[in-house]
Amino acid sequence: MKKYLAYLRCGFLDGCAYRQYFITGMLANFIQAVVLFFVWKSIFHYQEVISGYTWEIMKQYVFVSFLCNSIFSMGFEMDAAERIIKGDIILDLLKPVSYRTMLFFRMLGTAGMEFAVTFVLVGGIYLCINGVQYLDFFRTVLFLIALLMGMGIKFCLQYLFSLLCFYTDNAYGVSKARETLTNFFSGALVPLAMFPGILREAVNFLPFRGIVYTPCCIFIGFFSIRECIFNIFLQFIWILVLGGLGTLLGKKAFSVISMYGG
Amino acid sequence: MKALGKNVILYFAFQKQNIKTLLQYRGDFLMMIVFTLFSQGCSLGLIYIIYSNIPQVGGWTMWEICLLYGFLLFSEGFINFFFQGAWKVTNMIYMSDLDRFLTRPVSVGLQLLTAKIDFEGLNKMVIAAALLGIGIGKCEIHWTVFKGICFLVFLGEACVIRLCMIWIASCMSFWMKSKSNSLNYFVISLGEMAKYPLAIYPPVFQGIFGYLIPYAFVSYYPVGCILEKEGMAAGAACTPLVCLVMAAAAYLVLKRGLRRYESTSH
Amino acid sequence: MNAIEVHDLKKNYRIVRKEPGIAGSLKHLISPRYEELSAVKGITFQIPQGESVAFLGANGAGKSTTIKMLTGIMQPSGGTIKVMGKDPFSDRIRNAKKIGVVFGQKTQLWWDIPVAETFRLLKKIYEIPEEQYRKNMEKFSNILGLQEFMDQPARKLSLGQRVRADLAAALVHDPPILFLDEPTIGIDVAVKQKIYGFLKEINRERKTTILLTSHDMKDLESLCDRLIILEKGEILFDDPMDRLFEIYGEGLSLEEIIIELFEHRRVS
Repeated sequence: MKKYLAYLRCGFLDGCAYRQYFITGMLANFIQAVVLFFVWKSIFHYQEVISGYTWEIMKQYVFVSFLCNSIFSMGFEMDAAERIIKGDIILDLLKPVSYRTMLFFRMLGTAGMEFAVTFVLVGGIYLCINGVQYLDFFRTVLFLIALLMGMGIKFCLQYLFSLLCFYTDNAYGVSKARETLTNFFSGALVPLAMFPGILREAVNFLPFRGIVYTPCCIFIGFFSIRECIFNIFLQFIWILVLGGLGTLLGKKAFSVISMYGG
Repeated sequence: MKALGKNVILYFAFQKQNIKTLLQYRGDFLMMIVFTLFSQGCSLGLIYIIYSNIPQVGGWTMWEICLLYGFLLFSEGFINFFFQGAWKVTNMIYMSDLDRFLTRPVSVGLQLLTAKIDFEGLNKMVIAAALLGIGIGKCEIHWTVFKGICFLVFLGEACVIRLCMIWIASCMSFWMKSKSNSLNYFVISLGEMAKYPLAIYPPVFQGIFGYLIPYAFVSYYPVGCILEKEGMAAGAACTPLVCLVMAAAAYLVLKRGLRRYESTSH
Repeated sequence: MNAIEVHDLKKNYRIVRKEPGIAGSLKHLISPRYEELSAVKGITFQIPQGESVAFLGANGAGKSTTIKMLTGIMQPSGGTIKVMGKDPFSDRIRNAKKIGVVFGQKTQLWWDIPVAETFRLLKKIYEIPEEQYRKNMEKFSNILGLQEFMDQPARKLSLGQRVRADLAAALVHDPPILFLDEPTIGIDVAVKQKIYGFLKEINRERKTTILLTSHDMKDLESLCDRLIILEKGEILFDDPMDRLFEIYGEGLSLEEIIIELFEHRRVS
């Protein structure tokens, strides 16, 4: 366990060292959130309720979704890809620790740094705009659990995408694709309830909703307590499924290394 | 005049070499095209979803928004393809790669702008052109020859203004001396704002992100003018002036920056 | 006529004084503190056309800074420079046509394109007439053996090959002045010999003014007529090569000579 703590620390320091990349990435997402805030504002000016959302709810949704989306966003695909392309991954695999667990703890460390920055920023803006009137202790606890689960799903997805780098050297493309996919289907941009027709049904069967939409809905009270529990359970199932998939594909991908004949 | 001719010849000579380099590395072109299509698809999907719930945003319909989007995407693609070097300035300063450019009898600006080429830009321009085509088809615009010319000029000006924005942001590295500089990234991300009509933002935002960083003249006024919306003509008439000011600022920033250039190797 | 005239040349760098940690960064943001570091402290010298001069000095003595100002890369903090009668910084483009530059640490070639393509580009950049270009390329290929790697991109060349190609690239437009900043750093003896032989020939045949920096004295004896020793941004010694040996005898290393010079402060 101690060695994993070392990785945790290492990840935290990495995060601090590369904070500029994180802040840059977050800034782009933040601009997006601000734009959407004003777009919604102008829309709700003409129409009071859209797909069950009022302006009061939307005001919360925009910022909470931004918080959920920002944490754990500094993907490691690029880094992992570089190590894979250069062949340094062999060094990682030689160490007496599980490759994926090591990545997980490093990510967790980095997330610590991200969380601190994002939480202060978003929390501040949220309170400025909404005040404390909607905060509820029980829901907030459930929200934090769901947020943690969402991070688990995000990690599994990033791991899966990083494995793609065994087959392509376009690491930037892979990481961008993962980000776009997550942004769109997780509800980070628009509440999934607003998706039209079949698409709305379809996104319910994708893992992405667990990353942003689920914790958001729990926080703003869009779910009943029953639904909250059910959705957290669903997140858990997705972590198991994606984790299993990661193990399976990981085995396959690592066998490629020997083919390269390092 | 002769100098201009030489610069044009050299521009093509440099870009030809860039293309050859790209072919040498030959990443997954197909994959890149798919990624671009995919991410633009998602961005457009967002607009579609918003509009599937409501008829208009700030008085603009979906197809009108399409035109705004087209202007922004086209200018972005144009820079990626023709002047992607504007993005590399920061790195070149940090790595002292500028030394090499400074010992050659060619303008540093030209050498920097042609330091890289990105085929994704071509892809973006094609998507943008398609969007503009669809938008124009659906928007019922009363075309005249003059308006047609205006449209093309506006598009060109959008490219110039945006190029200058990135250029100025990148050149700030002459003063900052850090490995990377997120300003250019920040400036391009702000384009997100210009995808929607400026009027929906509060006045402070409009002032900073519409006029100080002149995004209003990239898409809002030109498209508004083409669509004959109220109060757009004056703003649109100012775009050539904004273009000139930005170009002058870009020129000055490079000139002043080079005076501070210290060529410390890393 | 003097090819290069330098009068009271100074260069100061501004260095950020920042305390470590986040607190230090914040403090820096509010009230930044800078420290002036003067790398070149008012040096004066002239170099006549056709002379070959070596700049000698330990790391950080100001050699590279001086070369970078002479080539127009950096603006001096004070003093004047005239290269062929022109200020190299404000008249950069015109100056660049008259000089050739080789940095041993960094290639001037295009990293990813074959060496042959680099030369074709240089022909366009310097607007070299066909006849002159052909003649030069033939000559350089023969002496420096360029043909063995002409179709390779610069990133695939060995250090020795790279410097040979760099040298040819710096001379292809027949510049009257050639600047070399530690050109032979990390290069084996055989290639070094070849390079110095080539430089000597160029200097004799074309009357090219050569200005070269190094911290390895032994290389320079055969090539350079004159020696300028820099230490901490000041000129310690500026005389014909032979004079140094008259004073100190042969067999002293650079370090030893600098120590000697420091003790006597400006022998000449």
